[in-house]
Amino acid sequence: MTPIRSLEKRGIGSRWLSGGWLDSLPFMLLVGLVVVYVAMEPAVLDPSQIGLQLQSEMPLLLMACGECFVILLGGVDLSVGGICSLASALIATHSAGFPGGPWLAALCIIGVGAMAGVLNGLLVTYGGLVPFIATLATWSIWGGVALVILPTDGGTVPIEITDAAVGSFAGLPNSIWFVVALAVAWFLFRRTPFAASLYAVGGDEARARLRGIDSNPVKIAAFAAAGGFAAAAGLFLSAETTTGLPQAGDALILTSIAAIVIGGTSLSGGAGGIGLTIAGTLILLTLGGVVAALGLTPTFAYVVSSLLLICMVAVRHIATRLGAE
Amino acid sequence: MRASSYLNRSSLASHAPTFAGYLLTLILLLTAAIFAPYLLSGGNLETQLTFATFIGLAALGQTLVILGGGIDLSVPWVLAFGAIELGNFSGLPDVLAIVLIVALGGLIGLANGFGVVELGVPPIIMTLAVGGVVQGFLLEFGRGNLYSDVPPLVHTVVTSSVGPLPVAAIIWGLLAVAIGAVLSRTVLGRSIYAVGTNYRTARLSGISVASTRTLTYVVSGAIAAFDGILLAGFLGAAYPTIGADYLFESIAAVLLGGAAIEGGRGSYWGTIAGTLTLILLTALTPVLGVTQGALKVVYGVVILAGLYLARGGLLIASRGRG
Amino acid sequence: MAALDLPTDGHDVAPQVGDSTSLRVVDVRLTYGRVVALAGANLRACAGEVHGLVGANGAGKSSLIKILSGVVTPDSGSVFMGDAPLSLGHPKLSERAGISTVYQELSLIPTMTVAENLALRRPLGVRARLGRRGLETYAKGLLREHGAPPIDVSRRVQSLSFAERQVLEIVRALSADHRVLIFDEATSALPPDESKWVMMQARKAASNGAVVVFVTHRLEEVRAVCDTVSVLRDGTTAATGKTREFSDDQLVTNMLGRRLERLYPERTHAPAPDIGFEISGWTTRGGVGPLDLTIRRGEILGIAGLEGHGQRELLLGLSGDVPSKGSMTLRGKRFRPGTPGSAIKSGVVLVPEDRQKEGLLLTKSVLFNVSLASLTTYGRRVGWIDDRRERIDVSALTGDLGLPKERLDDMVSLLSGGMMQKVVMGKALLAKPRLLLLHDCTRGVDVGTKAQIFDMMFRLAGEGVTIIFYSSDFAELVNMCDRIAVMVEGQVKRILEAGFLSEDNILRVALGADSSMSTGGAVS
Repeated sequence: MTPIRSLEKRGIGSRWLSGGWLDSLPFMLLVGLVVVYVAMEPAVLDPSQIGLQLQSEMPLLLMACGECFVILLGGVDLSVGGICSLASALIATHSAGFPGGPWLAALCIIGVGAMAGVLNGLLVTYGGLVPFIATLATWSIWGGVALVILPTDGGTVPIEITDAAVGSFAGLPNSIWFVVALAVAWFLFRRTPFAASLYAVGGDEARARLRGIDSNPVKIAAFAAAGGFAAAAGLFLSAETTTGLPQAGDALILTSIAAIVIGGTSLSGGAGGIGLTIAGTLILLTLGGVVAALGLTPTFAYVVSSLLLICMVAVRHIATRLGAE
Repeated sequence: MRASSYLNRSSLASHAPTFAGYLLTLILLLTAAIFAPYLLSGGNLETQLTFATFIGLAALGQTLVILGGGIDLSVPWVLAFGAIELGNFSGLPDVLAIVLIVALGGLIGLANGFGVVELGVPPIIMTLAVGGVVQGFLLEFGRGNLYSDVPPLVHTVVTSSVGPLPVAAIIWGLLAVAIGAVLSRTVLGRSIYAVGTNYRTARLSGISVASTRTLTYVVSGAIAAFDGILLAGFLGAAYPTIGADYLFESIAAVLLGGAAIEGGRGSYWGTIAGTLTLILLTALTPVLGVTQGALKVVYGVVILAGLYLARGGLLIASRGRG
Repeated sequence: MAALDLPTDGHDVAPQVGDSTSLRVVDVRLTYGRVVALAGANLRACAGEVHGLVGANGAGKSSLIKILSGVVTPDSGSVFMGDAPLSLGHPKLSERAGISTVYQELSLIPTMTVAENLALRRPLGVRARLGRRGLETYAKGLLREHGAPPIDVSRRVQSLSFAERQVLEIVRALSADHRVLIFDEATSALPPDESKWVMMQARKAASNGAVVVFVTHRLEEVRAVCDTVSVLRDGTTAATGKTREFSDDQLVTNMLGRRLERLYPERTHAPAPDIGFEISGWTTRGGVGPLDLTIRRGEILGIAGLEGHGQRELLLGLSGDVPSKGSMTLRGKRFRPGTPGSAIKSGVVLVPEDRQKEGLLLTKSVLFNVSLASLTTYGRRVGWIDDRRERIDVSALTGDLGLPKERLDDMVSLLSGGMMQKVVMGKALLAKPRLLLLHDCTRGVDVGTKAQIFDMMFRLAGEGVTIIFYSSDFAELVNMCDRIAVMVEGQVKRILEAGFLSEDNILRVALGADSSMSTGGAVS
């Protein structure tokens, strides 16, 4: 059969040039930054140093991973800040005499986060609200509940939880294991039919429905994941500061979205993922390290991150537009 | 607007959410009248109106941006910029300083618009990033954390009143009328609604979509800077986080006023209702013995309630169409 | 078109009532707001046969397909598989009942790759074993198994051409287990070889025992592959029976409900001798051009060809939406439209392809929409809009188009497809075009509105407006245009002159079989 024009195969080389390089841009940038950072501060190559760095970014990383699920749907979840604050307040106040011990308490708190996410999902699916608005409202609600439970920073965090966050296992800091676990879990999750449904609904909800995919459960599950991860972020935050912080989540929301976008996940949904989000978060981390090594203030790092954010999005946009011609 | 146009089917649909916004305000007003009538008395009323002005102005730019299909997350930082820079220009005559700062605010807005329109950066990201740059600038180069070189002129203007109305509120009122008129009666207003409803259709119909969208961000930046000036004048001080609360409040005011977050639907009159709702809520909290945390919860619930009220209004309007 | 050699088993099977292997649609009704889409449609298609479904745009074909595939729930009526009633209303239910649909708008997820799309509904066990490579191998296997042309399975669907996507959509539908296979306009963008492949798949599925419903507007395809046919008109079944018992004329009459000629108005105008619009050495995005065209004032130039050969790019480039290079003159004056706005100011107005997504602001009123392209005539940028003059002008215009004045403030989303199209045309007309670009403006529009649009086109031509008319319906082009430019692969292959305007000729040029045509058209 004669091939239809433009049905001809394209070689691997040209495929990379025509768009593949864009997908690997975050990784290349990360590698570049790591090389620069290590060159300036060889001491960071030490596992405990790496562990400390990762530990400081872990709440952000966890929140960004959770938020990624909702971004893949094409939406945005602002309530992760409130859920994070709530989790931080809960672990610092209600874990002391909790039946079943601190671990069960932590698990339950993550469950609470997931339930809050389910509420978001219900508001968006059956409640017919746009994710931005629904989560704006629930952000305020959960943030408020956090403050009611714990009006100011304080409370005590169970020692076991803190040890889990800042401790080590088999010679490596736990935070390294957490990142590895996240990456592996994502790799496995990516192959499941649910992940495929998530990408389908995020890519084109109407067509996903035509393919027989029920979009409501997918959406609710994505919000639940975001809530659960946000709660985990709050737990980690309390763990490493050994106190409850009922307003800490707010600052992380927009930064987590920035990390996701720098990593390459598209805000319109259907493309990207947690692997890229981990890369994006690590980029921010390394960038901060390079700036510090240069003797500049953290504010400077923040400004550079903001500019980087703009650049990454603009570059992708312009490249796609040029590629279409 | 002619009275008869309110009875027409399409305008009813677009005005119903605004009515719902005012309904919410009315409910809170009645609550205040019943449980705390002193809130509505002379001195208190003046203070409330001044507070309302600060939110209302921050929400003015936000209204335009949201109507045009975007969002402005840099408002708190441009506001702080306006407040802090007021002291930096103390060498210049007051009016010139104000004009300059407002222009700079507009320039920041221009950066937002450029990124969104020309670079294709989603508004959430662009305004977030620009806000971050402004924030960094303020933290590095803003003169210390707290300073009080506010020109006496500004302080006087903001704290004085004409009868029961604070001058600030009068300024707000004038701007509100101007913006309301622009939105409903001018080509620019139609363009903003068109761009917010469907960018592609607006473009193909010959609307200058790029300049319209950019203009909404420029105005937002300029007014936010102006708001910062007024706020600094009122407080007698300025610091980088002076605008922090105004992000949530500006967006909430717009949404409570019945505007659609995706753009194309709403009006500044609605935002005013939303602003008044927020002010009343805050004012009622010490009365009802509500803590800061509970207030946040109430905020969230009120937003949800307001949204469903607005949708109810839309539903009734569309059913009335037969 | 030469007759297709297709195996003919099943042609003589007579449908049985209550056949346990038949698909029956009984008295199905569907209304969208004010618009009646189906007013009691019936259908009976038996296993082992290919049942054609034809009808004009707006007759109800797509609504019926949507009901069968579960996208919408009918207001009343039922569907039976054999004797068992079918649950309707969700694509999952139709999928479970064994109905597999090749959708007209395609159901591929654009952001996913070919391989991911084909493997989308495979269960956990299958997916877990494969990785990205595994999915690609699986996809390649599927394409080979069904004899589809080779497509790079690692590419994102959004980067494929429409023709490639159509082929993919068909493979997707074929690879699902099915008892009923529905082809909804599955060949619209495909060249003859691929169209033949599609029809062979339909035939194969039927001989494997499936019920096959084949929706098309090409009567040659009905003849070639359909054993039986139903004609829909105005939401009901106007006729049904064995294909060979209908002549083409009878099919068309059933489709239109009136004689063919009455759809098109009398031509009373003739193009003026002076030049209305000219382009030379003109190129635009998508590999279109270089083109040279000279069109006279009051002339209607048709654009024809298979879908996806540059017609869309041509119109978007002329309207300023997409950058173009080369010389352009309108009534003697050179112009370069950088944006649609400047094009409209120069007098070039486009009626876009997708009225809902590109032509209308659905949540705004008729008045708002119609004056959208002419705002500067009623007010300066930051000046007051003259409401009264605007309303007077818009009322007059929409009145001419048949839109009642009482509807001026209604939300556009509540109107029927035909009314919506009138609003879009009204917007274009109010802007006083000198060159009017029509991008498939009669698609999905009822016959009555179509006739009004054709009337308006001739009237405009009579007033000296140059019109470029792109339609996917060759018959329309033949009846409405002074000349027809047939596009193939981004170039104007040939311009058919008066006297040579026929659907046959268009097709021959489009398919490259026009070497035998001596005169009848300059090649530009």
